[in-house]
Amino acid sequence: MTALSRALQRRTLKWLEKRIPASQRFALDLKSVFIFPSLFGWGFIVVCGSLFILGTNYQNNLMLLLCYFLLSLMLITLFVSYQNFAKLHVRALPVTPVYAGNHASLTLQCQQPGKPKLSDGLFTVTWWQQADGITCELAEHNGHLTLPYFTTNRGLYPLPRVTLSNEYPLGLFRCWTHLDFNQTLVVYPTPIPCKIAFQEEGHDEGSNTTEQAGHDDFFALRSYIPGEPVHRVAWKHVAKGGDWVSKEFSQQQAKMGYLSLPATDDLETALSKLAFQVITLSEQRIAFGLKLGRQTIEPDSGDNHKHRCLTALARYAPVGAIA
Amino acid sequence: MRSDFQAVIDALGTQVIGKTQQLKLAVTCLLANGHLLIEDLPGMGKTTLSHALASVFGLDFSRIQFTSDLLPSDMLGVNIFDSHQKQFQFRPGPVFNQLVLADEINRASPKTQSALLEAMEEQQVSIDGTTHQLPSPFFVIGTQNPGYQSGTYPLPESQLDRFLMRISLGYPGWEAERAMLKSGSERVKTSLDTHIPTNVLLEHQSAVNDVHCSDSVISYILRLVVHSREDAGYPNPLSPRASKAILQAARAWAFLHDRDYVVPEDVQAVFTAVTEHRLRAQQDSHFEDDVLSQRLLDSVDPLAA
Amino acid sequence: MTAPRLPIAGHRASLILAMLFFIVSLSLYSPLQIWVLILSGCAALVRVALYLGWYNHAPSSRTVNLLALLCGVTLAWFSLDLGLLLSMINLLVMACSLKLMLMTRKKDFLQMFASSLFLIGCGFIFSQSMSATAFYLAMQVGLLVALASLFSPGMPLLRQLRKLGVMSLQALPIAIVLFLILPQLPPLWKMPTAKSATTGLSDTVTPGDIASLSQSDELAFNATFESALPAAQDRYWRAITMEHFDGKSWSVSDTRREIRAQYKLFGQEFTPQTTGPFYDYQVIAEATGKSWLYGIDVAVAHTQASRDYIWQSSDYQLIASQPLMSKRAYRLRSFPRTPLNQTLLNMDTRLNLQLPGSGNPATREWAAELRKQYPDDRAFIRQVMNFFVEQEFRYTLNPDPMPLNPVDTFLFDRQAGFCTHYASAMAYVLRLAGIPARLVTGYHGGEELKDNVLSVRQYDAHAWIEAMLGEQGWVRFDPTSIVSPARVSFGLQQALEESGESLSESPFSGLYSLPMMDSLRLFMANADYLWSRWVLGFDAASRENLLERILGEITLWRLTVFFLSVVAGIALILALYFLPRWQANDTTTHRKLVNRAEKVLVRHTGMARNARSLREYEKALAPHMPNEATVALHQIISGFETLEYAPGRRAHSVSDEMKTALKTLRRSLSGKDGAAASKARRG
Repeated sequence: MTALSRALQRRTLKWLEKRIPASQRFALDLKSVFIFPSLFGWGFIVVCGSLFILGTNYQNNLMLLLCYFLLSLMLITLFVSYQNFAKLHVRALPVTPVYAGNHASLTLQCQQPGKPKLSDGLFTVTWWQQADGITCELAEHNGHLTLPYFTTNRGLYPLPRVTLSNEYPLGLFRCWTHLDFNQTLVVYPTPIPCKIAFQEEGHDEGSNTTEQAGHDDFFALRSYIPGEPVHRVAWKHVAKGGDWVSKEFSQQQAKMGYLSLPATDDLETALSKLAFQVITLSEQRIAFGLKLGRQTIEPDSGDNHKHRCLTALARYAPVGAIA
Repeated sequence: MRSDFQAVIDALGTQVIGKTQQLKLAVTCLLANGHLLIEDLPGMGKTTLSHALASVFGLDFSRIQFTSDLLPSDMLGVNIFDSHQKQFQFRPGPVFNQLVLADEINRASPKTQSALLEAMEEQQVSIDGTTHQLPSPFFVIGTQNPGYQSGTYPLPESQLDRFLMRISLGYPGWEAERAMLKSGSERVKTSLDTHIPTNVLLEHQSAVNDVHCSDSVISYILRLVVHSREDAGYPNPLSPRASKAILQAARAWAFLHDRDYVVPEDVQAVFTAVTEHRLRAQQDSHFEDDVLSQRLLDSVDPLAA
Repeated sequence: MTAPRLPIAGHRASLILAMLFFIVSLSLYSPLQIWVLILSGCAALVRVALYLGWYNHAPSSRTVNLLALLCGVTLAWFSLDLGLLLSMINLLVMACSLKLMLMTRKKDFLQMFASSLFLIGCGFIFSQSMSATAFYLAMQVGLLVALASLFSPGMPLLRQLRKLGVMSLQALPIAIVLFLILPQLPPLWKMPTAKSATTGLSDTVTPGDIASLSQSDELAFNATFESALPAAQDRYWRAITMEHFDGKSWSVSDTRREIRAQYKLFGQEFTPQTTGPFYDYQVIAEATGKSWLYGIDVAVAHTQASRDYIWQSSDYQLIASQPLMSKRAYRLRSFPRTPLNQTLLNMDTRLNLQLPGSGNPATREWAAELRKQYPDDRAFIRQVMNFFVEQEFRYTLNPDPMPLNPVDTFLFDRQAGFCTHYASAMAYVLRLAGIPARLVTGYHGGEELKDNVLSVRQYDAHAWIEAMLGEQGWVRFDPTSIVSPARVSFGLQQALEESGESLSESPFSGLYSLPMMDSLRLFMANADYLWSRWVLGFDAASRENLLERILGEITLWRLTVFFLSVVAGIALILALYFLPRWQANDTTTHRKLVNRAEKVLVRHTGMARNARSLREYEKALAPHMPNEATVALHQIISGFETLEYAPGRRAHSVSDEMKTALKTLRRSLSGKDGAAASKARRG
């Protein structure tokens, strides 16, 4: 049974792939919008049917007129519904990577540039085949819909299709679409605090903890943190009666070194610890490299470098595991 | 093209051979009252271009070589205690010139960089609580070595934004280099004649602001900018400052071509120079083709309503 | 699908729905039991309390279930009295009220909406007047607003209303077209009907009853004639034939009822052989709660729908298949010259010689005496009529009560009364004389609402007699006309003026005497008539007429074409509503010219512009085009640039130049030499 439904789902997805190919942004049209009477829409038709029977049996023209009016209204709402839905221009803002265990969020922007009018009515956004999602009106959030995605393990996750549906104006028809925004979520390992094991270039053995800041060039004053070397304290400032401040020096040239995967811990813990170190070193603007299995990332610093390293950690799979 | 500016370009062309397009852009940048960033490998004629520009427009010129130990005060100037008059006297630094060549800007420490960029933005310098106006026109040509070299501090995106245009001269063509080599010995290193005096340049600068820009051109610029924000293929979308820059540069370009209105072609002509450095992600700040801005131009129809 | 919970406090949609439901229930006060109304009021109150946040949660379902049980039992108890239809409606309102208290989910809301919609439909069973329709229309719009509020809760109410208004107006023409052309089916099955208060004539006549009736100016029915109106004195609208007299009251004879039941049992119906001239008319009868209908003798149902609806009894009475719970239109054809001699005369004779065993001794004596003098039937009848004249009987609406031996008292003592007294007395006397006679009640006359429309009101109620005269069959005699000819020729008002009386509760005096009020009344009557005739009275025959007027002769082929064109018409209406408008104003002339030029260029060179600017495009095209075309294109582009980008306006001359250049471009590209040149260059 489940195998059958799974096969069915796979076929549906394949069909959707052809019909609504993945893209960063969508202008909805006849091809990508599905519309069908909702359950209530069918109920409405049944009510109209009973009104028709009642009107026929009592030969009551007003009842018949009412019935025809309701049916015509339903016909009109078919178009209103579609028009309202298809004027939607959806694009996904890039997903920001998260640490495992947190939830990522995909933000959809449903505003069309140059056209301030948003689609009306409550929109329901869910992940493909998921029942729970969020329901809100576009105007409430300025055309932004944010859909959370829960993560448990590190890795690269292509985000599933997003189902967007709307029953405006009278709930008689349900318009929906399944959009694939072609987004891959990078889930970094959850950082686990640990000592920084930083191998300086050239010294293969014996890791040493680097100093956290340079000492070549005076850069700024900042409040003193207890435990800092006393020679950094700006005594002149303290002598004038000010608070304790310490001098900070910018480093002309950072030391270069590599982080690498220790063989001792189990893999996930080790990766988590590495993640912590990458974050810490980046905060301290220390250039570092990363050696992971066969992959080596040259030493560098900055945000982009941090993300490159963390992404490498996220997607790391030991050689044996690939097969 | 206006004849006076044609003469300027021709004169500049004698110094920087075979780079008419870049020269025109540089002049446009000057007309638009913006600052120019030249990204090139050493020895491509960045300094020559700056010198030539200064002399063609009769501008005071100074050159600041940025090094890692350059301090803001070296550049901006310092207050010196005058023992005769018993008070501090301000001694202006090299930045107090109409054309400043900030050579190898990425070699200086971030704090010096920001001091310069602040001066560029405000057109004034504050030292010890006193504000000193910079001369007008004030035109900074920053040069930068491409790529991450050790011991350099690449300008962050927010600061790159302050430069109206970025150009790179690149290697000269075969013919150009041959001509250069042949005339090398007899090339006079002296300055060129002043073609457009400074006060006329100032008038031209204000005339650029009067160049008409129709709604459809503004909407074209908007569409370009919005497209960069909506397409995930652009890591650094264009800011409102960028859209202002595009408009101003396009106006100057139109003025340069003796037109009192902007056409989409003006926007396209300056677009790469104005936006490429803003669009690029920082880590890729080495020489690449101007792919991003070109792709952006290709994906927005200038005529679409 | 999960059923999401609705917010409780401040939920606009629920409150609107509750209020509307309550108002609709109130409008159904007549069929509803008072306790059901109270229940719906309570439910509305609960919703208000929830909306205002007095309570935070709906009553528990246990409480409501208990209440439901209680209500169910009560309703079951009353249901025997109420009949099926009323029980059902009471049940619906009751269930909705209980549901309203419990409404917490979207599903509940939608069910409530559907039920309320249905309730509005039911409302039309009980009232179809213009005002009721307007009222229910408003309720309907309100319900839709509530529904729309559920699906777009953030939208301001006014905008909601406007959007719905637009949608309703868009739907209305389609609904009307559907209504006009979709065939109306005959009733699929017999529906339960309500026992409700009846108005108008009653099925027993005790002289004195009709007096109260005469004072009501309520409409009884409208009749629209297709030709000229019948003469005033011929407008005898038969409603009930009464063949049983017990000395005081006349009523429908039990034997007659049995006969009718037998006919119906064998699926037979009395169909009179009609001869002579005839006229057609449509009657729109007001609700009476009874099943008799009105027609001028000899009336037969005219169209199939009417034939299905009307059953003709052998006493020439027309009987509706269901009691008239609301306005009802039917079509008749009357043959005024056809004699009423086609029924089983023997049976009729036996039935109509029935006499009460005792009572009215003076009348018995006088009738026997008179019969001896006048053995001939006709002479006897004439003599009886003469008696009324000679004795100077008076026509009055306020006769004294005559509790004992009413005929004696009337004939020899009071000698004053109105139609029922005369008719009753005369029929009794004729029966005493051995002449079969019966009482017929109905209406006489009517006000001319329009040239061909008669409006008959309750004060036109009348009674007359029929006597059987051998082979001639039943012949109508109206003793009232002898006493008060004005009653028959000019109507009740005239008759009363002659007798120095006016209607005691005088509908004619007071307000109606003001000319403005009178014209207003006439206007309302007219509007009501038009409403009844064109909306309520629109039936299969009207539809057929309409089709005939549109199509001429109706053939299958024409009908098919017609229906297809109606479908196409509806599609056209929808397209008008929803196709993106052609924004002609948005595109300027020079833009259009450039677009056209582009199309020409693409067709001839195969090079699209894509996102290039015009100048670049021009540059790319130049090598592939003849010189003339290049020049023309350059002219077009320069013109466009001037008009689109340059300041100031120099529109006309430039766009004219562009037009000329476009022509040149076209000619040069499509010309043979041009094509050859371009080919050569491309090669």
